[in-house]
Amino acid sequence: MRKIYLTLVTLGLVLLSACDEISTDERLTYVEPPEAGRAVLIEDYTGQYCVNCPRATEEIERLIEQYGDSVVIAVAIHSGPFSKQKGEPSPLYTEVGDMYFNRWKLSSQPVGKVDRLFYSMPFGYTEWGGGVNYELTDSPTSEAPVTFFIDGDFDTETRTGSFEVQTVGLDENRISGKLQIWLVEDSIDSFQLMPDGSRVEHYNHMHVFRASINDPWGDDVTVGHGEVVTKMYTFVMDPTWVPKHCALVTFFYDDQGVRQVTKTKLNVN
Amino acid sequence: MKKFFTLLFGLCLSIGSLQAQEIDESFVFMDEEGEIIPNGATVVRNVAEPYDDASEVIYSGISVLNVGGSTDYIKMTYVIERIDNGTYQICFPSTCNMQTVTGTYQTGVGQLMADLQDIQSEWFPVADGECIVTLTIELFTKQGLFPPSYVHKAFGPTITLHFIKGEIPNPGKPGDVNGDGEVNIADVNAVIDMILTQVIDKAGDVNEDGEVNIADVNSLIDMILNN
Repeated sequence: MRKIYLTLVTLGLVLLSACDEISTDERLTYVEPPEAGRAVLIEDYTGQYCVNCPRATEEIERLIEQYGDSVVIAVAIHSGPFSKQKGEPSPLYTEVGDMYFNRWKLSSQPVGKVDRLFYSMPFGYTEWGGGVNYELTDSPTSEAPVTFFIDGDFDTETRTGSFEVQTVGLDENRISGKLQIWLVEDSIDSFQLMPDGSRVEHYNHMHVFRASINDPWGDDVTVGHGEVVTKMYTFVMDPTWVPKHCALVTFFYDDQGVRQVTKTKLNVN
Repeated sequence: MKKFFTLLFGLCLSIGSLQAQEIDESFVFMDEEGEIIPNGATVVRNVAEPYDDASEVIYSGISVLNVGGSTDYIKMTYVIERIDNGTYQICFPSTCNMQTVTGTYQTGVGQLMADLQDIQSEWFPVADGECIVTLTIELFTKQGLFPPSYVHKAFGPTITLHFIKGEIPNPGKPGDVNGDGEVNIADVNAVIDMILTQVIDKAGDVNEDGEVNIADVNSLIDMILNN
């Protein structure tokens, strides 16, 4: 019994700690579903000490150039052994990112997931282009079952973001999954080891995973055709991050993988 | 004596089977001087260089050469036989891997970035000691667009990297292959293991001809019988 109390107290502390920076609210309404183009999420598990990782970044830039930045949405998750040296984490490392890396049982870097397809199978970056093409054309999940409307503001004085996410059901059937919201930052000036073994001190890091706004594995959402599930979130941003370079990556996933994703720049006041 | 004959017979059978195993040499290992490293060879590296302000690295200087413009996909299987301290790292052909403990590991499958690619195989020691890694190239053909499947085609060459930081370990007395201070059947077994697994240590070169093979087993048996 004492153990249960202890667990409850610990759980309470964790929830209080989380609520201090992030809060959420939820309501359900109905609308006429709009048309929605499909976008694809590439999770790039990378590291500043990984000499081959800039090659993966180049491939992401190539895919964004080919498909557009609203279709290919990449997130560079600094994690794994190449984000640490002698146990010390690199500047862009996050514990949540490392938790994903370990949860997916990854070992090499760079490695990525394309819409978490095929039970979240990891792929080398040379396969990502094939994955994007597959997801947009051949995949059974190439039709988006949901779309998002995201509205909110970021207050630079309090460094607080408040926004609502409307998840709109497009599928004829009710669909259940997880709504995930990540904060990413572009144009971060930090070092990177390069393919020739050299170290570039001022490498321009793009779409870097900074934090999960909600639970690292998302919030439950069930939505039918024409239904709108609205959730409210607030968060307080780390003082070292640059708000105008930040964006929200919002995605919906289920056991078939990521079914829709969108990237929204912060509306900075 | 009967045990020796049985052992030798088994060894001959095993060597016969090893020789029958085809090694695909579309991809070969190459050293810093541009010399092809023969299958089964051991490369010793003992020059530690500064890596940053606080650490050192011993580079292998090994590359893989695509001999005939092969379009096959490859990966490296590497067995860390010994790592006294620090970290072993390999970046090949398109991913990087890092380990601190012994075991069998594999890189991702991919194609070479160029006809000659540095495998960026390095040991980052934090103290004197050794790191012994056996590398084997494996070739694949790619099937399907996405998700692709990689079908095993052949095994390529195997080499052993022997990194040494600090004093080169005392080789011990002649024939004491396993370093236990005695020369006996256990040393014969150690040499046979080296031949069969192709994880070669210089201690197994009993007759000091630069190779570890059946001649070393014979030399060891002679030593034991003559003592």
